Amino acid sequence: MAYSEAAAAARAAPVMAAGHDQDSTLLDRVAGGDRGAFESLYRRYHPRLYGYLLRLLRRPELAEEALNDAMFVVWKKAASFRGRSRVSTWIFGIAYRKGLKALAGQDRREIEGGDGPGDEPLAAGGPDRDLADSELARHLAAALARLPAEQRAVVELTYFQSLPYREIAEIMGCPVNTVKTRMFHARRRLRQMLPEIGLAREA
Amino acid sequence: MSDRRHRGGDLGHQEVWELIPWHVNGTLDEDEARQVEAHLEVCPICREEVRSSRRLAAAVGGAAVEASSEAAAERGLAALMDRIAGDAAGGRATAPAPAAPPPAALAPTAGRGREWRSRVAAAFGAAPAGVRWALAAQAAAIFLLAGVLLGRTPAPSGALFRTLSDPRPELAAPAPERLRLRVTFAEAATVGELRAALVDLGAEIVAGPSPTGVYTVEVAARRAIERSVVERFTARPEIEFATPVAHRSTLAAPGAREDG
Repeated sequence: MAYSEAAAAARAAPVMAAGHDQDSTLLDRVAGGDRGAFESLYRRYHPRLYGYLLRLLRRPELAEEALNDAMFVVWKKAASFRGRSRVSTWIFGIAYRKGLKALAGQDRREIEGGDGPGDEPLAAGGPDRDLADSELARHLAAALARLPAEQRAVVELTYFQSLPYREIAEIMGCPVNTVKTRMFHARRRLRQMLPEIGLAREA
Repeated sequence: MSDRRHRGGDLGHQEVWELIPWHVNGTLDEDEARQVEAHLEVCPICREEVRSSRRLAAAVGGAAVEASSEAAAERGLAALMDRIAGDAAGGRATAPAPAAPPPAALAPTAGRGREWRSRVAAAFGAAPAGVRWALAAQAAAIFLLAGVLLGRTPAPSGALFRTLSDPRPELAAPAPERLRLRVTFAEAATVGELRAALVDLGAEIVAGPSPTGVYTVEVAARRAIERSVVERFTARPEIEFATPVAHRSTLAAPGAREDG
């Protein structure tokens, strides 16, 4: 494979942060009380925040509620945003705290996958993928649900939102090593619970 | 589990191992990426962990959660604007500008697509010349390959770099006799081998790569034989992982898709 050529082609792609600039512009206007700008910001963030909170909380009504609680804070606190982090990091951080708060107000065990405490495999299927695919999807959801919220959030922010670990640490308000440790435990537990997708394969 | 078994005196290995999820999602900085790459050259355990992490990313992406929809966003927004209005009436003075439609330039779809694209572009752009960053290189090569196979430039706005699990696919639902799968390709496979494999399988790349290196492909097949199709794909050494895209048709009516 022509690595250098391909890498050059990748570098030629426009490198810029139009999205972040737009976020900053919108947030400035929101800080000035511009509701139209706030609505634009809301529509921009709704899909990502909803997906994020739904995976964290697992209940649509809870996710919607936490999303609006978070965006209400964005509206109220926009003027205090100092630009030390990116707008998206700030908003996801608020959503994360609202999500944890929503979890705290619920029966955590119920939300987090019932009373099966162990990491035993969720299905007897071997790594030969002989499960129905809908079943696989269900096992995955169940496996993610069994992780503590903090670990689930790291998996979500890494694999769904494709964020760097430093940004995840900012969002979660914790040291980067804590992010790595949470991911370490999440990976270990997921591979124990999901042998059917071949994660348990050892070198 | 024996993941920690290598920690004795081998901090380098352990640190690399911990960074692999962010190697897979393409967000390591230049220096870290170089170190991880160098370590992967000599460490089969970490190479296997990279493959394993890609499988996890792909599988998790196939497990769709209930999709967000524009209708849901508008409902939520209406409720929140009511709350804000009530809050303002309760003391806070703000300019009354209720329900003004957003300027076209700030339409949410366009902005979202651009943001992800630029993030990936920025991550790829950070690679210095000569660094053999397999993920970026393969992504770019396969991007070109997709153009060759489809005979056109596969760059419809935000469709290029979507998150693996984007619950609102910009792609229209596949035709009834078409199956859509998410696949990851073996890193060692050459462009020629991938092209041959895709031709053999009768597969077309319709989207990708995602930030985690996952492609969406389509083949002519009925849902009923989905499993044998997946088996045919995974039997190929060039293909590392394949999983059907979960029942998109149930997520939203095709008519409700965004254009952008």
